[in-house]
Amino acid sequence: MKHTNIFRNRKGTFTEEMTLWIPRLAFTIIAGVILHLLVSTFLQTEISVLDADAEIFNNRLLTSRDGISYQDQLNGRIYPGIIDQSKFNDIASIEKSIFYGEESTYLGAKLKLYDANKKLISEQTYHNLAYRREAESYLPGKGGVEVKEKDIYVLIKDKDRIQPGFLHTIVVISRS
Amino acid sequence: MRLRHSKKAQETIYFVAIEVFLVTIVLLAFLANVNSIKNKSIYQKQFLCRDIALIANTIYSAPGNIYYMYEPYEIQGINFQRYDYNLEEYKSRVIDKTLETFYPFGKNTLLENGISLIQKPSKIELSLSGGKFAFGKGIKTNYYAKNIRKTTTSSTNIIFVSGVQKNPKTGSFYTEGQSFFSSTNLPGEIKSNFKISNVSKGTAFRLLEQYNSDLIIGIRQDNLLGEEVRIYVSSHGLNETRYMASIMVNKLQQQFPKIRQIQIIPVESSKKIVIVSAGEEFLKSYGYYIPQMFAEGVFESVP
Repeated sequence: MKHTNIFRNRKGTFTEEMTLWIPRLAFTIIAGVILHLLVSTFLQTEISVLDADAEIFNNRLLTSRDGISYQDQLNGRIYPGIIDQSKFNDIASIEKSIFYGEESTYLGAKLKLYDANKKLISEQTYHNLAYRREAESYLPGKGGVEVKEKDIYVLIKDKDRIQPGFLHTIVVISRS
Repeated sequence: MRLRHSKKAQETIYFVAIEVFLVTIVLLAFLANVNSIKNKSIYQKQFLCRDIALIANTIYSAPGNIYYMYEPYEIQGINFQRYDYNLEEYKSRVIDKTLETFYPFGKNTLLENGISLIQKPSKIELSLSGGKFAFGKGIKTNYYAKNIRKTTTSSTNIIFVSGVQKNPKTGSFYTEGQSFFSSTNLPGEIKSNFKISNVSKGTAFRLLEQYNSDLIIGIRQDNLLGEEVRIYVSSHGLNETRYMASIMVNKLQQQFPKIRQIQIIPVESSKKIVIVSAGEEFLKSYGYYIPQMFAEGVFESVP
């Protein structure tokens, strides 16, 4: 490569070489940063189970003995998918059966029962102290919450009357 | 031109060496960072406490009885036996000496919870049976799900009667076999599940009419109980005789492992009796005292 001497003495030559090395070092630094990002992508230092926890909460409502599903009083059998409206309206018992602590703000939920025509039959709030944090869902990072919604097709039993409907759950889980 | 005599070459090598040095430093820093993360126990503890919390929530969601043994040995790098474990104060806790890592779980306060601290275990057992949640090592399980909502019944008095035989020579009757009343807690369980004011022990079926009882249970605990057992449930009397029979099924399975099949057979009878039959001979022994049952055709075809 033919150099054009900017400066005409030895010090000038050294300075010229230094000037040419600046972009090389910069490129090296950029390459290093990209390498760091590539490595960081494959490093998993956080274990998030929020999705699983929300799903387990929904299943617990439907399949546990102290949930909202109809239970045969003679043999104690649970019928998941058949919602007993009297148990659904007894939210205090549900809060005792899934209890995270008096002051806990870890998990809250809104439960809505709709009939087949999407008309709201009943609405209950599980653990309002935690559910009202839904307003913080816009906050990123550890201080915010995750909101998981789910629709489940169910049969709704009100005394002797059974009708098809939907159960809509909005589960709010704290990220921290 | 040899490089070592050229000042320009020396400067070039100098800058190349700096570059190589910087790259080496960066690479070593990456390796050290990854190694330090790999060796940190906080990630193990976070994984274990979250895993156990999710399992506890899942166990609570079971509609019946469930027993689960937790042994995460197949997960590489997890030193499971190093820590202590507990499920207190609505948190799944992994304890490393005095430091705790925890994650919340939803405890069912309507059930009886038997939770104990487990120290450096080889396995953790979780179960939900008999209306009780258990977390620990070497836990015992019942087999039927307890109905915590009290059922209604019109009966208040139940008599347990052991098996009776008739002496073919003398024609007299005598009791035989150990009564279920004393050897198991079945009477107590029935009393707690139903609104029963009195559960007591009787000696002979022939005093049937003399007992002021709403229901008589004839059951016999001895070697005569074979591989197949039938429980005849009268539809008369308690509203939940079938549920009571379910409780008895679980007790028999627990007490007699060789029993392979138990059937609950409803019969229309004016007598308020639940009978556990182990075979023809045993069945007939009850029939001597309940001739009405034969007359009603309940036991016409004895298996």
